[in-house]
Amino acid sequence: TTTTTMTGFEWPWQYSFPPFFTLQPNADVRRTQLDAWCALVVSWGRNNNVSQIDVTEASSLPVFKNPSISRSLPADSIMVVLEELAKRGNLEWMDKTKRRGYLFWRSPAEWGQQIYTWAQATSHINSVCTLYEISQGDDTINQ
Amino acid sequence: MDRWYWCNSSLTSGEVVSTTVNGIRLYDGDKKTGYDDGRLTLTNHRLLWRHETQSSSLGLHLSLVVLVEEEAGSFTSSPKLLLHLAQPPHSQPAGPVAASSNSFIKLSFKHGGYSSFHQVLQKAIDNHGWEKAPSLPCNYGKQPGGKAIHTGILGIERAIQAKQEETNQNISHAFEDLKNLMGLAKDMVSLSKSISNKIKERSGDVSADDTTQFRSYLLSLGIDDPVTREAFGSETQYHHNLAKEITQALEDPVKEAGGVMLLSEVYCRINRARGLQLLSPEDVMHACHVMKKLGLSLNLHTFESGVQVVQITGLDQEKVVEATVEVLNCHEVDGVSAGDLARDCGMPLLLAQERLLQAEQCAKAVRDESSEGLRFFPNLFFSRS
Repeated sequence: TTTTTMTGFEWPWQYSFPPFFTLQPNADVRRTQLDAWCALVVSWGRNNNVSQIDVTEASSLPVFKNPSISRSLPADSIMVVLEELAKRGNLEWMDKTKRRGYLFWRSPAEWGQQIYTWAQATSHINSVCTLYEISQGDDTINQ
Repeated sequence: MDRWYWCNSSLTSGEVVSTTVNGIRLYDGDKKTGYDDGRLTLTNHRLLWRHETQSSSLGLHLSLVVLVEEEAGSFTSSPKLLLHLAQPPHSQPAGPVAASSNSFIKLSFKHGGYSSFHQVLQKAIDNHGWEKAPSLPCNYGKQPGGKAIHTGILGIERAIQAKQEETNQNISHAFEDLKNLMGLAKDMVSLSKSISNKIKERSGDVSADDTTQFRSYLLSLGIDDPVTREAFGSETQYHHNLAKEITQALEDPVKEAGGVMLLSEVYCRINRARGLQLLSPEDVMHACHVMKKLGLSLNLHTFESGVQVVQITGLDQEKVVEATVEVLNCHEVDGVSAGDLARDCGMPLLLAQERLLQAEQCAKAVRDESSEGLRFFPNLFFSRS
């Protein structure tokens, strides 16, 4: 079953699956679980325009809890998810203390790929563009 | 030193020699005298000192001895006895020293033996032997002062005291024997320890009967037997036979229980079946450990958490996991706790828990930890996208 929020965001099926909120001890299962979590955090972040995550406030973020099944991800598991996001390039810590991080819906590498693909399509390779041109220009309306 | 007087070695009437000791030097107070390396004779009346080259002796009446003290010897000096003396009577015959400022003398024991001499000397002094008349002691009529009183209250008191002393002596004598026994026992204990160590090293060569017998001896002595303490290192024929016996007795019950039975239950059942000659838990465990080696139809399986079960050999673990997953699939919404599984399938709680953990290890089940407890779900992470 899927549930939707006011913004039309669709929660994935895992969100309603109680074990999703317990970090699995089995390594293989955990990898799959973390994949799902990372995807969820990124898509939820994009949907709700969340660009920064503060570790101390993270437990109260809606993404990490589901009241309808009375489950929430414990703080240390949240940390594991954030670390995983950082590893995949979706989160960048602001400082060594790892208390706040920038959330990237696309990792810089992914952005790079996107821009390159767009540049190829619009034959902008080897020319200089401003950010304005890239994001608001006529060629990018659909992107 | 002026209490000594010259005399000959003959004894007066009623005087009896108690003991003699050699190598005695006389001291006037703390000063050494020239009277060295003599033979000291103790009688019930006095002390006699004589050097072997001389014919005459020095005598000291015991009545003059007020107190005797011991002076332990050191590296440089011999042990000594210190005798505090009273003033000599005027009637005393001439001695080597006319007058001395010291009222004590010392006897130096070059060859030792001063402690036992002290005891005898003290006894002689206490007895006041010189006061007793040479004839038979008078038990009735006149009792001149100083004589040992055998009748009356004092006599009774003395008798009681004598009896007490005798009892004390008996007791210490009895404990002397005990001391000897303890000494012997110590030897025995160390001997048996060394034997049991040898057995431990050569565990293959010693026959089972001897070992069992020896172990029973050690047990009666109260010695921890190092042989049985090793974790199934000492598989004896005894355990092999035991393994066969357990398998024979419990194969059917284990099958009925679903092919798996907790080791604790096995222990209870086998002892129930035996009635007499019960087995220790350790023996049951050792026996189950060797089951696999012997290729019996039952064997011991240890879970990661340490729980041990006896199961049918060739029990397909995969099938067990499958069965568990099937139960989980029926409860996709709420999950299954160990208690639920135990109740549904009629198995012990511990076993149910192990089954769930086993399924989790095989990535067929996932856990849900919450304030409601630990529950398990089928692994939808893998089965669903």
